[in-house]
Amino acid sequence: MINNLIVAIFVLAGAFFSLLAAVGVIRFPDVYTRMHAATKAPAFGILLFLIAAVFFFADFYTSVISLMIVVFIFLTAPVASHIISRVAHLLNTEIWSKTKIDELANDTGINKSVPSSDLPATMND
Amino acid sequence: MMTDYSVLPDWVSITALTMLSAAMLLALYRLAKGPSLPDRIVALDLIASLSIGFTVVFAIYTGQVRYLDIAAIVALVIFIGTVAYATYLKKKYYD
Amino acid sequence: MKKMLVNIPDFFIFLLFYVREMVKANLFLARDILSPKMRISPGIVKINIRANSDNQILALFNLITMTPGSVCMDISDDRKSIYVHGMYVNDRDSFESEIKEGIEKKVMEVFE
Repeated sequence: MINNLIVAIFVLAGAFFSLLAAVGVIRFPDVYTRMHAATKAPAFGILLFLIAAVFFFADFYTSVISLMIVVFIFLTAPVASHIISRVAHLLNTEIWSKTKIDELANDTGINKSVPSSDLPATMND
Repeated sequence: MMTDYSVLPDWVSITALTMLSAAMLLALYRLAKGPSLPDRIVALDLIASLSIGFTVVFAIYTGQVRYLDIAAIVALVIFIGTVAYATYLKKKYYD
Repeated sequence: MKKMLVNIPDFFIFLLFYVREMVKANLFLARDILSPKMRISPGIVKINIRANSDNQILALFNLITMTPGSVCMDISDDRKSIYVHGMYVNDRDSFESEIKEGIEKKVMEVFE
């Protein structure tokens, strides 16, 4: 019974963090801040789901395959976010107008301007 | 009469699956609307991550361990997809 | 004799640190996403790093991306500095010293 309580808590917490990621991707104003939501929260959600699965099935096979999935997700999520944000900066994707400093633009010379035209449209979603 | 808590109640998995579906719909909205191409890649990446979570919760819901294999394979494949999209965009930029 | 990547007890301490940082990061993210008005002040900061081997840079990238309010964006060609997108860049120098004192020191201790 206590085992099932743990499984329920972890499953619901994982679902909460996954939903949080989606809400963050809708709400945040530009690509780079969306990257924060889309990298951290789903990885954490999957970790919680897999802990729940280990408690639920409680056998060797589940433990091994869950460990494999977790290691792989946590090794690749930063690489994916790094490559997406770099290509976004390369392609002159517009950055939020309230961004304080952009030292990458100073060094590479691209994406200099900080346009502010359609800020309200993305903010009020 | 008390509910039997020796098995995991169904509503837990169903609630989690519903929340994941809602998250996927929101990500699909961003995929359709996304002002720029990197926004859409972020949304695709998020949908793939959510589908891994969906598979794991479905394994718990049905009680079949074998569904975890699917989760492992999806986790292996989506990373290649994201990197391929980003590399394609980079190549387009340099041409 | 081949040298090991890390020694095992240090690695477990590092793992605990990683998990704690990750939980903290997600709670911060939840607060940011669910608060009705945007309370973030993003910025891209260039940070000079001391880490120079491949393992250290990989661990540093991983840890920076998973810690509260920062995502690694790019590394310069000479591998001397990295560009970090931060969520709460109110003061550039305090943000930089936070990453250098906290995360990078930890990485330098564990990996070599």
